Amino acid sequence: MGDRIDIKQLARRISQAAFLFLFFVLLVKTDYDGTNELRYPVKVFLDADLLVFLSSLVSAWKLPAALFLALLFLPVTVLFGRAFCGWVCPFGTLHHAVSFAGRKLDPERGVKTKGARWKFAVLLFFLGAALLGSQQAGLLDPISFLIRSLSLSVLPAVNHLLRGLLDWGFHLPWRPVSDVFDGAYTFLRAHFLSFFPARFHQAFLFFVLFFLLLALDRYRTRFFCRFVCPLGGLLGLLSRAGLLRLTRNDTCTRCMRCRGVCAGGANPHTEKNWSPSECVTCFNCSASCPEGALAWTFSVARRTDDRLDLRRRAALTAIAGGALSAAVLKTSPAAARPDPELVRPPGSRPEGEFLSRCVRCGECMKVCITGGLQPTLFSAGLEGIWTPQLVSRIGYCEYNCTLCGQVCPTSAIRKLPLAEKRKTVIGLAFVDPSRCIPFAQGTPCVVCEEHCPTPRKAIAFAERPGKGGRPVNVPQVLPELCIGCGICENKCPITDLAGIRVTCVGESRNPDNRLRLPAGPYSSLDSGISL
Amino acid sequence: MLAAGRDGWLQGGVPSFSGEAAAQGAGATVAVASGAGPGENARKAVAALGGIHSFVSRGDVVVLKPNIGWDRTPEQAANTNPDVVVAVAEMCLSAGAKEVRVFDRSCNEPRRCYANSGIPAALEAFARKHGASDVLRVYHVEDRKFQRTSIPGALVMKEWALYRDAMEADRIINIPIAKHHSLATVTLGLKNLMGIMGGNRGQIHFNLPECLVDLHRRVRTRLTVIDATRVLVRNGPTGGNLDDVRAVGKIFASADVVAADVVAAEKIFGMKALDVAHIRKALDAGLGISSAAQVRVVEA
Repeated sequence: MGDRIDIKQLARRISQAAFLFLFFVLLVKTDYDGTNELRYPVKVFLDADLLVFLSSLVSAWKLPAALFLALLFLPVTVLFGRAFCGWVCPFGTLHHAVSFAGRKLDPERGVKTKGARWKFAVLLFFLGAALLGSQQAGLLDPISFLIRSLSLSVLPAVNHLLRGLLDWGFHLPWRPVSDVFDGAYTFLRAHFLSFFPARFHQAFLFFVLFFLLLALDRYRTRFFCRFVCPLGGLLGLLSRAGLLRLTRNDTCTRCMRCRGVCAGGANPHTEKNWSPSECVTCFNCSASCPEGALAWTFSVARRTDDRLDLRRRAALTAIAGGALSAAVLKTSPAAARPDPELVRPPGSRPEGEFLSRCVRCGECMKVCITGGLQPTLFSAGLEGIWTPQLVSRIGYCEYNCTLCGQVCPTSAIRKLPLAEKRKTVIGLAFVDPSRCIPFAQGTPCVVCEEHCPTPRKAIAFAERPGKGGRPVNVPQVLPELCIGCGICENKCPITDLAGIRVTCVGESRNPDNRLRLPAGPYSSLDSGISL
Repeated sequence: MLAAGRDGWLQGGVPSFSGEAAAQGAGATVAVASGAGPGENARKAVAALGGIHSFVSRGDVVVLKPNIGWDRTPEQAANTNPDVVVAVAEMCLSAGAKEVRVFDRSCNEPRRCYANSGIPAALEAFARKHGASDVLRVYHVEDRKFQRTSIPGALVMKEWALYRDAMEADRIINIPIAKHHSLATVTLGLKNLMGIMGGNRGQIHFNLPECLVDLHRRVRTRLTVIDATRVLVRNGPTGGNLDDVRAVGKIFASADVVAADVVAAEKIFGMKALDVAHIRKALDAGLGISSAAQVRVVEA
């Protein structure tokens, strides 16, 4: 071992590096790039995700065409086993790297343990929930998990550190050095840094979960892939019909090197118990065999006694548990009456349908041009945790922007044509007279009206006696015109709680969440307010 | 507020003050150019003031401050016409400017504003064509370059964060677009300079006239070129509806921002200077001319 290059192992390493690099490039490119339509296929890893495909199919019954790319991995898996895990999955590659860094041989490594069955249980649990229309697979789907963790916590932290360093250099008292840091900043901002510092609620929680999963790799090699990953479970089930098989001839001296390097815990060292559902086809075993006793062949014949440690009763329990959990989650009050803060991005489907699709990958939050899309905590019920909501005080919905719908892998947020997006109502602004400056202080302001982007402004003026009896214009929202974009709330000069705020009433997607104001003489469009 | 101006004001007559100003023999000149394209009008207007050499010297670092505030196209007339900005940049370079820098702190998302305004694209195309990419630069503002700046003698705004590059420039040329504005009634040169301000600019709207006077007292612009090629007459300053846009086809220019605003307000919007609170305040404060009668208008 080590002194000769194994071509299969080398190819696997190159593949891992290439896909990881591609993943990072696409993640950084999940951002406005000067045109209305994104030019890079930024969600392609999600499109290729068989778990997202299957669980969305079960929960929503309909899928966007792009997701059918995932079906490519049906033949791949039948041919090569869990090659996706070992060769493609960027989260798998990270786990692989953390697992092996500085620890070449580990006698426990290649032994299949009982815990391996848990990933099948996790998969079936999520599919059980999906049966009731609750898409929960994204919580542990590796691609969704990685995009969410990196977008919402790791990359913002990297940005923060880099910005801090560059700012420090910029403020050095010597101008030539300051200018060098300034140039570096300009370059990095154009190619790597986010345009504005990204800030997300619960960032630390996402980081802890991410860090925890990676840390577990030091306890067991590729811990997540072996014991937790529902996509790994799904591909593992398919791999049992796999054609690529590990065989061993009788030159084997039982040195057990293969056991010490196996990434998946697939029992490469035992005569009869090699486990195709655990093997991630990393080729470490055959590459490390000093005798050349291990070989790979394509064969229909089964040569292993390895069993799937998931009995029928356990499988049914997992499915029932998922379904029952979904049933309990759906009793949340949030399912009966919309939380006022739950302003969904434009193009979002009706809430039930939305929750049957959204995998909480965080793509929409990553791409949101103003950073206003934030992960929910409880506003969509626990069932909808980490789904997107617009927090206008952090960032508003830019009038001419349709990026969130472009990156959504499951079309929970529909991709809207720009003309339709501009007319899509996501909420309604309300003036709070106790805080709005012209109302409360009798002082001119109207910053909200100034920024209102609809061609006919959804904020009009009414004149009232202001400070010193002088007339002052106060804002009035015209509900027929307001689309709830939240720029008024975002730009309101009151630094903390704005004097005008958006709630979700009036959203196009929910006919029950309407404010049916009277037409005729009390309609704000006919009322003689100067427009 | 602009109700009177909704119809017919474009046909409004020649301003009444030009003769009086000539009689006084003091004050400021405002050039009004029309009849050509936007860029050529800008050139004609500046030429009528004595040419760009009166404003820019060889070796100067010049900041151009157009309006790139909104995610709108040139047709929607919320941002300065790109041809006007290119024409002014070209004049500055021909006068030997060492560097011409163009930026604005926008209201909508900056990248979208820059892209859809057409201004960076036009400037970069011009720079490429003339090999001037290293001296003509258009870029985004960055938060860390705003510097707390005290404003001695301020009416209300004793200090504010102002953009370093504007404060360090040898010359600032203000290139607003003339628009209806809900609070200020009209937005012209005086208001456009807000684009070099950092911080929570919304709060200066509580006493906008005084704040604008304070800003201009601290930051003197060398030349104001008002783009009135297309003018948003309603639903400003954002607009978005082409029905609210009028083709006016004029450029106003003056060394005195107050004079430029006085003439543009009257000639474009039919408004007396005294009816626009921030222009009146600027006249009273003596930023430039102190009375509309001191303006001399030159047609170009």
